[in-house]
Amino acid sequence: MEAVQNASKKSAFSDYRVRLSCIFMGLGQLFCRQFIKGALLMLLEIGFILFLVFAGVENIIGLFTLGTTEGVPIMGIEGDNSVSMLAWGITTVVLVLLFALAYYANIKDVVYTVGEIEKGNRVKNFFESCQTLLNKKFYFLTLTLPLVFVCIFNVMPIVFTALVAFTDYGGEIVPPKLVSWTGFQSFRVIFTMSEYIGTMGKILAWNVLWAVGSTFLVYFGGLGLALLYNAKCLKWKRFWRVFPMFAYAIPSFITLTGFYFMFCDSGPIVGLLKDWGWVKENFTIISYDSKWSLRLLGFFCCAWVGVPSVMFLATGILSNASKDMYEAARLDGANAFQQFRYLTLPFVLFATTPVIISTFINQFNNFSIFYFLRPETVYAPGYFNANSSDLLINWMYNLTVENRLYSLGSALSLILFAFMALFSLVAYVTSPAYKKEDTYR
Amino acid sequence: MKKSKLFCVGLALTFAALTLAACGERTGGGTFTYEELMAKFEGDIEQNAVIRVLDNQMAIETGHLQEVLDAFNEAYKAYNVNAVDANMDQYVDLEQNGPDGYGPDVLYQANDMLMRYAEGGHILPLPTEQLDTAEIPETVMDVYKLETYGLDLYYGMPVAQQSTVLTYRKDLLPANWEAEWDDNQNGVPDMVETMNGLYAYSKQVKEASGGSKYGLYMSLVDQYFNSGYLLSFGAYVFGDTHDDIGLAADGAEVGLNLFRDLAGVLGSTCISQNATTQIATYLTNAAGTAFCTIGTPDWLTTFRENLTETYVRGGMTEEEAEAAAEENLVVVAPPRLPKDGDITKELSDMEEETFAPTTMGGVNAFGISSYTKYPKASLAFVKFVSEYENLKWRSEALGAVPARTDLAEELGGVSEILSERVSAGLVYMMPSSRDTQYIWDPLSSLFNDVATDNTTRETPVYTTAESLKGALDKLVSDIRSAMAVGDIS
Repeated sequence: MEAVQNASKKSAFSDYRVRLSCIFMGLGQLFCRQFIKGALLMLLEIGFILFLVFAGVENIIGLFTLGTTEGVPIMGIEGDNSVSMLAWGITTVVLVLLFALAYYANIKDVVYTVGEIEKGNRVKNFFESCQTLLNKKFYFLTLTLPLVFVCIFNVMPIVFTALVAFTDYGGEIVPPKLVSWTGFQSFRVIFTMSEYIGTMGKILAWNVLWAVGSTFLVYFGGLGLALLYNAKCLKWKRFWRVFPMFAYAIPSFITLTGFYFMFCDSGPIVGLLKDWGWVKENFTIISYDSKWSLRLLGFFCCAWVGVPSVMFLATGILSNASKDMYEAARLDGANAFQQFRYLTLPFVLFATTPVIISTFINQFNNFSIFYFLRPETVYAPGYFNANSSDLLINWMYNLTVENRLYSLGSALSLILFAFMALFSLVAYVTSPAYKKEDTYR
Repeated sequence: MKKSKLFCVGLALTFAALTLAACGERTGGGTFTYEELMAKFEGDIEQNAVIRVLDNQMAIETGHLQEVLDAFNEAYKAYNVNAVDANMDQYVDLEQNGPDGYGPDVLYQANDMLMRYAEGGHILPLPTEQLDTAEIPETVMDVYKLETYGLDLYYGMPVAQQSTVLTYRKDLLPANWEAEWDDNQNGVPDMVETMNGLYAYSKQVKEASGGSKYGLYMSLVDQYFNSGYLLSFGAYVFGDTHDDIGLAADGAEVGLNLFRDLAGVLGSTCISQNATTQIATYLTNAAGTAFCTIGTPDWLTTFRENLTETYVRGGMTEEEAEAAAEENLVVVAPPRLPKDGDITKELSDMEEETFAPTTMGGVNAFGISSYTKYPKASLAFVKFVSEYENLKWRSEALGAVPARTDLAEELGGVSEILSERVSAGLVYMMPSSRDTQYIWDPLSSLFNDVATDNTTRETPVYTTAESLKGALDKLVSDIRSAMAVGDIS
């Protein structure tokens, strides 16, 4: 009894093999006679130490200093490249974190192995460990690799973009000039410079209106079309379904360029309207100060491009709807609208809430619509580096690509990200898909 | 206890971050003498060098670049140098790509772009003593001068000058032009001699054709061509310092009003960059959609080719068509402007009431990337293309106006016209400065705004000198804001 109590009081770290693995990866495993695993872990730590010695420490210092020697390209003196130092610094931090995870796994492994030895069980050899990984912990194996790729291709670029917002990178400060950390300077510029705050307010208000309006239009347009094609009275259904497929299959930038040429001043639509005398001679849809005409054209184009995809999705969902429910509703005297309101809509909404959220996010960040509908770079009165039809994403493009104001663009994207993340979270948590998860199961 | 531990860890991390941030004091690259800067060009050309040459789209499309590359490779075959087409967008950003190891070795660009690179250290100063610059006017050379390490260094070898000329179709002139459209009887049609004549003729053509034809056809949003109307009436880009932005200088509003009147007769279809892409078709088609355009002289080559094709389709032989196209496409200096800015009135004394306009101009040059591995081979290429005979070849092939005065005189025609305008101070050289990049978008917006005002706007707002002055003040304010943000960012 006393022995059991002593054993339970004994710390996992009291065993010398665990302590050895804490000091150096793999050492404890070696003393547990897991030679291959131990050697591999030791090699990993040696490799990591060598990486730190030859590059890692320098990379981390570089992340903080962003370079100390300015290059002189005309003399072939390379100097420090702040941007690549930032990228390498982030990479090194990610590698350090991944190594820390590996270290933790190493300790956890040796604690488990020592426990097994103390219980009198046989210690697994390397091949048995591999088999366990392949069989019992297959989920771990298959999820680890994507996680690493997510870190490299998603997390690192996002962190890079986010950190750029806290530097003075852009404008005149581009390599070989050294970039500096400037704290919240870019955010201060956005929120304190009258040009920026005024422009941001107007664009944000329009952007929200656009996202809500276009999501509503695309979603209900697609649903309406799907219901129409599902109607029993419709003949040659396959024939009719071909047309939305065309709109869906043609790349949207080609469609949008086509729309621009159709609706511009020298295009056929405006020309015909003038020829028929339906509009005044100075009528225009896309011009320097077009605001609502262009915005409405944007909604129309957005519906043209987006409705087919929702229609196809809704067609699939509607085919799974229970016919018995509709039969019962009909027997109870429900008319077509009531059936739609109380059966179809809740059913489709439940299944497509994540789609609505993703559509909203896509529409909020819909770059192409107004980029192609107003191909000229013109800035409207009262807007700074933007036009009245521009969305935040277009403004960001103007700032970063056209005017190379990278830090301001990054700061703006962080603000945008915070807004979208908050919206998505609230929308999803309050959606029927989240609240009534079991309704249709 | 746990909170205090966390606090200690946070404090330690902050301290470590601050220590790392202060790890080293920043140092510049030092200072260098002229000899040190030019040392890379001394000695024999590198063997087996491969140099990527970036030229403009026209040189590539006409095949001229490839011919030059072949000729250069042949001339320098002893070094086994291989100059190749960089095969990049003509507006490739060396500032962005150069430090990453991309970009061309030799590049042909306008002075605002090349000098922006020079300010950032992305192109090399050239050893001008090794280049044939004696016949290039000082005003043109100065465009590429930048003080570096206390030395006046030149960063480009000027090859061609750019400014605005008027190109018209002689065969589209009205049959009675000598009687009706040559008030001063000088043998030059009024519609290409003065803006008042051009305005009146454009209006007549438009009304007679129901809007399907144009007298003058050009893009109203082109900042480069249209800024001349402001410059002619006293505006300037930068004064002694860049704080002094002179685009709203007194008198500029008169030029802006002139532009507004012109926009009214050109119409809303010209308020687009697309109009630029239509010019060649409209000016050279069989229907004669446009009588004339205002643009750069290098368009002439394309116009001639198109018009030749039109004539061939009309039944002429190739030789006849080429000769007819050459005769019928006439290039003249941009039309004279009325002193009072009113292009809608009829002139009674052209000499007395008008003046020669000032137009925006630039100088295109070859520069060498700082990131090239082969500076000597690159310099050899720059020397090769700037030789007298090769410049002549380029001018003839591409219609480019040479920067060399002796060659401009020999070639005559448009080269001579432009060269004379430069000598007379009628070409305002685009400032060779990074800040120039901030003027283009606000200028384009201004021209869009004012052109729209007299074409499609329901209630025009720029109907008084004060309102036009206000638009110009806003232009300057926008440029200033863009420059300020560029400095902060």
